[in-house]
Amino acid sequence: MALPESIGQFEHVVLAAVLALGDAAYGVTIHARVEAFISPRTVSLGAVYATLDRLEDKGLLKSWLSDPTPERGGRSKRHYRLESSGQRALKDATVAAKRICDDLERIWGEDVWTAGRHWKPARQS
Amino acid sequence: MDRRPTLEARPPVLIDAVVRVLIPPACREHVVGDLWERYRAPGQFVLDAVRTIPFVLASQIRRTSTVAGVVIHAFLLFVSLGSGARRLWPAVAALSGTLLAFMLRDAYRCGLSISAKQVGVDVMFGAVGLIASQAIVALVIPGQLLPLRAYAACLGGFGIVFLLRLQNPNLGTVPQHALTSTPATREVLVSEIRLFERMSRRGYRIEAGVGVALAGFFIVPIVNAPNVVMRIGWVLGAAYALYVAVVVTRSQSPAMPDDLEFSAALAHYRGELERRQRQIQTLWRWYLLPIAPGMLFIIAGATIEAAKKGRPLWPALIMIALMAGMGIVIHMSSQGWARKLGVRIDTLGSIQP
Repeated sequence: MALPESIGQFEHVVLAAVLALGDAAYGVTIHARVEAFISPRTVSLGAVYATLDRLEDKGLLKSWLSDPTPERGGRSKRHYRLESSGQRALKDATVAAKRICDDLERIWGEDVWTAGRHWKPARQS
Repeated sequence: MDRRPTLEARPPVLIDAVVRVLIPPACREHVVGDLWERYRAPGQFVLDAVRTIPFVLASQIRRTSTVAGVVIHAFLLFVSLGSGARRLWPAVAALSGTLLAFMLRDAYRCGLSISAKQVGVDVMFGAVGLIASQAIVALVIPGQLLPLRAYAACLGGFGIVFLLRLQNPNLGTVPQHALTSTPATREVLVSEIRLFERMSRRGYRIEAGVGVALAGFFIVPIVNAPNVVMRIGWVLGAAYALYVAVVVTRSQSPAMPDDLEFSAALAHYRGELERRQRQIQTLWRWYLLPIAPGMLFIIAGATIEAAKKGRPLWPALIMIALMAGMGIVIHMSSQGWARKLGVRIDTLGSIQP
């Protein structure tokens, strides 16, 4: 069986945001969800678009234009959905992240996985 | 306080128009819509646009420009500009401006251009890039401006770029839009086949025409070559150009008959794509390898002349390295095109008539 497409950390975040949003995944909502994931860091909308394009070119995402909506000056939204290869890549990346996290928890002796954004690594003495 | 946008909240018309123009057409609809949806105030809108446009532009350039395309364009232009400039930096500055203009033009282009007029406009953008880069050089380092004779030399380079783009608008082998869809009706399939046939015929004609023209042009250096080694090289070069013209002329196939049913048309098209794929996969054998003997003789002849005049011999090594590099780039690109064709062939194979 062919190995799934490898993805970078930011691609991982964007894929997770698209999956989490389901049918409501388009530029603005994906950007908001990505910023929520990586808080307190911020990211530009453009960086999200570039990553979405790359993931689409890799065949991990599928996109289509919706009907125009008045609050957007009569313009369409580009919706995104994960392909099965995208789901596989997301799962693989998450498993790898979990393994790294488990190892770091063992080394640092702290609960990294559930600590969320309040977690800070212990200062090495 | 509710800060969601209202129906009345919209960016100033002028700013909106500028932003719309700056966003490439392929992503304009949804990116402008998203920027409108996030609109709070003119300043925020401008900042949002400034932070977004470079990313979408870079992404679009990545999608519309191929490494092989840029390298081949750079090589053709460098040879023509360099031969006129006779100094490295003026040629590099002009080359960079021209390549950037080509890349931006491709990023802002609406769809695939296959008409000669459209390709002509594309090449004009390259020429504008060259002039703009020279204007900047004139302001910053006037000593590095291209000499006038270089402009005459680069006309040949632009001419070859025009033919290359006309022959193969996206340096691929099938219409780009066709790669993403599966033709469900006979009309859609036939229109794709006719487009493929039209592009193939034009590509073959250009290749054959250029081959014959080059063979004729090479008579001049054959007559004027300073030594016999170089003369042999130009004779081999002319023979190569004629050989390629004959090969591409013989590999043309007749157009698909009009009265074929969907399944028969599909089978015919798949057969044609498979034939083209084999031709591309073996490009190194019939297109790249036969040029090597002539080039080596020409370089050897030029090296003999350089040695007689006490000039350095290293340019010969650079020329061989450049030729080898170009050969590798073309070979690797051709394998990529063959893979793309393979994807299309598989997609067509999965269609149930």
